[in-house]
Amino acid sequence: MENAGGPWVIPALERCYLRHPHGLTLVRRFFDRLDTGRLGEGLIGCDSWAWAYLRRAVRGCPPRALVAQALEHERLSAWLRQLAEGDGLQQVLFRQSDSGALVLPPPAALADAVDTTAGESDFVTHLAAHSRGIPGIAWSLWRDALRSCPDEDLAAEKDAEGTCEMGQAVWVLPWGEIEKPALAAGFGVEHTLVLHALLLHDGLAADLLAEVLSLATGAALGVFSELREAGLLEDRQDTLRVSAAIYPAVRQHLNGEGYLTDEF
Amino acid sequence: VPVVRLLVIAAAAWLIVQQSIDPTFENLITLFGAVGLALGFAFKDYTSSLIAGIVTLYEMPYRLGDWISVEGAYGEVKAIGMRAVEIVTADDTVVVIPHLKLWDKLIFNANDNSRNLQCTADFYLHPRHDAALVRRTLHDVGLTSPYLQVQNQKPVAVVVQEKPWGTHYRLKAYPVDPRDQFRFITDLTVRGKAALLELGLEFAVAPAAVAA
Repeated sequence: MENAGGPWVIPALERCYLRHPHGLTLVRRFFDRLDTGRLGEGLIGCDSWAWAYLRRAVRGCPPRALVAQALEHERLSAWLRQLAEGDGLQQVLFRQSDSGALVLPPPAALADAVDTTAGESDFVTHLAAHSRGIPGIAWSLWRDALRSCPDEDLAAEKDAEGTCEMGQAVWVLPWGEIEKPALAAGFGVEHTLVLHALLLHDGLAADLLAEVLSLATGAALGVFSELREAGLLEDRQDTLRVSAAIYPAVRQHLNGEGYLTDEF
Repeated sequence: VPVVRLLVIAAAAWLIVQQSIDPTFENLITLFGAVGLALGFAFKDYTSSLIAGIVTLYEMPYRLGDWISVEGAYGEVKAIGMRAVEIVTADDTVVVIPHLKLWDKLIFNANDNSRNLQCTADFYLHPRHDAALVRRTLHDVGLTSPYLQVQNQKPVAVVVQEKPWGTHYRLKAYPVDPRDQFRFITDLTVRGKAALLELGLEFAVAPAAVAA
């Protein structure tokens, strides 16, 4: 592998290694060549979990990395508003289902006409903190929180006042009422190892996962099906991944147990 | 507590003393002195353990969750009392160790109130082989074990020692959780053996004299 003249790109370094005795050779050779400078300039894209592992396990791993900034509540609000507008919901208000407080800032066109007496909700602040500013995680929880109707009390109040905006409002459950998935008690070491391996590789096929963990096929299938039934795993295109909704709980669990976690 | 039995025994002893010796002041002093001496010998170790128990409070040779070895008993500290410490071994057996061992026995504490507990997997190979290749392979076996503690960057080391009957490799690394140490050693051993067999290496068999 020599420099062919122009800059090169490796979009997903996490696909170039396995946490297996034979799985580090390729990455190690690549970093060795990189060290010599013969490869010229290039760009490496890598999942944050894989990067955390490779940085510690493979000598020569570039020490610095650039990361996209986490979405704090203002950026997250803007992004969610952008998504809604992209779906053709330019005139929609997002209000909290129990109080009517505005969850996202209203569209600029409606800013003057919107009833703001219920105030602003702190939903997105909680969402940004809980999701660690990761858009995919935040979006998954956001979708679960959306409702087409407000709480009965609020609906009755709005009807009585004659100020119901039912037609142009999407209702969002209060943060405290959202069911945030948690890990079940009696979670075994094997379950933890499976989740950790999936995060370190940004998803793996079931047979590779069994190979990486040295699990017997029968035992591995048992663990996978238990995790799938508990809603912790998603199976997309024959690749198992940790589901977005449970990710914060899994990360917290792994961190608490002393396992390697990403740094972002 | 069998109070009635104790009272009967005390009354009987008092009657026997009255019958057998003249209860003068001098005789009673002698008698109580002898009884005190006997009790002192009987409770010597108990008292020593109680004092050692106090010493453990500030010296802290072991704490809850530590993995200790005392006179061949190795296990996790589950309870520390005034007189003794209770450990649970890997065979799920509770061993009660009096604190007085502190005075004159070696107490091995494998993790000393931390999560860092070094484990070792041993491999014995026929001496004719590429030691550098084996060392690299075993190092990667350690690095890729799912039980390995990576977060705190504890080292993975391979120690090589030549023996008269072969080469002894010791793969040393730290598991994430000290309670997983036996799983970790098993994982290192199973994966290490598989990796060495893939390299076509021959394992050493100790001569009968050495094995004995």
